[in-house]
Amino acid sequence: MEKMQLIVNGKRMDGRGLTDLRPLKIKAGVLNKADGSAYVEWGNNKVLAAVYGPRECIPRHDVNPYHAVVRCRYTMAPFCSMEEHGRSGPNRRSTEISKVIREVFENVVLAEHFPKTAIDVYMEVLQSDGGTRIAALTAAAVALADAGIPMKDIVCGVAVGKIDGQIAADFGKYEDNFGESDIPVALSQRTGEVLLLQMDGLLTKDELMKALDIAFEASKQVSELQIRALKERYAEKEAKGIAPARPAEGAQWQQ
Amino acid sequence: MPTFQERRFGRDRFPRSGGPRREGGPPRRSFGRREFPERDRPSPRYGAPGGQKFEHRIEEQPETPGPHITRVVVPGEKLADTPRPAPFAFIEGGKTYSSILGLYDETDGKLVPLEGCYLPSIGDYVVGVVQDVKFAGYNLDIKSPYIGFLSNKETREEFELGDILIAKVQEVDEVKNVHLSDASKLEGGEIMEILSVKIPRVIGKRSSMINMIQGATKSEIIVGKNGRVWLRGGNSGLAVVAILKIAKEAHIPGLTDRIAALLNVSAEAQQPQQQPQQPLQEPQQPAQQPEQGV
Repeated sequence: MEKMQLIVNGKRMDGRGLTDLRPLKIKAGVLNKADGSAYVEWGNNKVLAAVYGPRECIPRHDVNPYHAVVRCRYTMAPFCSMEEHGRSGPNRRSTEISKVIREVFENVVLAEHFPKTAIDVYMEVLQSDGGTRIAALTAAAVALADAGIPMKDIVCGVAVGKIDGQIAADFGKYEDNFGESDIPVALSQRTGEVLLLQMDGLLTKDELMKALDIAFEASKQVSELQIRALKERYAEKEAKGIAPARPAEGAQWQQ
Repeated sequence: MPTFQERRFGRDRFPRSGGPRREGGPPRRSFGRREFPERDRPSPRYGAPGGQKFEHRIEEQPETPGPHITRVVVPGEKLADTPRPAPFAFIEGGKTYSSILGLYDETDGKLVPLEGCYLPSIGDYVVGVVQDVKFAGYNLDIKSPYIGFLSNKETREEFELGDILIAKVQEVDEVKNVHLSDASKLEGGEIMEILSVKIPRVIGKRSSMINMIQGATKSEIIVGKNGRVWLRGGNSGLAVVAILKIAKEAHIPGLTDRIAALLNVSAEAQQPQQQPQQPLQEPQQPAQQPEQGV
């Protein structure tokens, strides 16, 4: 099979530049029963995240008397991609992704305020097109803040990597499958800490450092949209209520 | 080898071991053994003859005069370039950051959460549901990650599963064991739940908001700090609408005016139906003074 050409005249398959993100939409507070929730559309990815807690930790043997237990569950819907996934529910891949996302949130959630409880984060991928773990993490971070859980920062992320010998950001399905390397990165914009870093494929050290710089710059836009989604939730209620309209906090961001 | 008589059975013969100190509570040795201070007092049972009427209390905090500038903040957002300790804020590198989604008042540096669960603190009155009856007392669901425990030593009444109680948080351990006291049963009525972080707005300054709702709807209302509200009698439907509106719009300035408008308008609409039964209805309570700031 002839190798797919991913970059033509400096433009990618969908017309983006090398470091441009796909269109990203974030909405907070979409579910009524969850304590916090968020919906993310990132390119063709559609992810729904819900947070419950802090709540009583069941089973009781998981209880930690020093801090809350953070539990994450990432799943892909059976209908989420071109290839049929068959049965839904945890498999080897989603168990691993749940684990790495849990470790991200364990680092930012101030869990010691809620001993003996559990904070449950559920992420459902409804439609997938490459980069779903970062889309799920983006949604979950917004949902955690929406649930009123104290955190050191809202985690944001982006996938970077190498396609056709060049370092680029935010890969879709074909760039992911036919590119040379794919690195999902999650980080805290406030402190610059890297909280998740996985790599498929091979890169030299210089390429990796360049990719991380691109990830840091590109995820700034993600972070801004996350903050805007949370603030919009409170501005929106104001507009619909009887209250006089007041310029919303962060209204300078125009989509 | 001691004889049978010399051996002492039962833990109560021995002084209690020290154990971890409890925050704010009496020392462990005296806990549960003191005299009943409430024994001579009239029963706190709600509505009982001679009983105390429940009063909503909220800690009065000093207000900074003048207009308040508030903004919605998200976790990790910088509040100030100087260390300004506040609940739900943290200080890193000499700067203050918010840890929650909240409303920050830049004038007096207060950070009020907009979402979140109820964490019991000493002195709060909570509305709980009996979820388990134990030998030593009752487990109460207090709409919190933690279960409230009402010891038999703290009450002379007997309760059943599903009873609605108003109780005071007497003590909270470092591992968040919640001990309740001063329980009394709430008979009849209905219960509603809102976010516990909105409760200070439902009560209002010096109970102004809840008094206004009670005056306009003629319902008995008891507001638990845990976000449960118990209502009985009167136009409780209108009271529920008003409280839900407060919960939804707590962060928007001018809340008192809007609630007053809602109560007056809706109360007038109710009057024609009520007039045949109650010809001597009291005039509606006038709207309260609008609050300053948020």
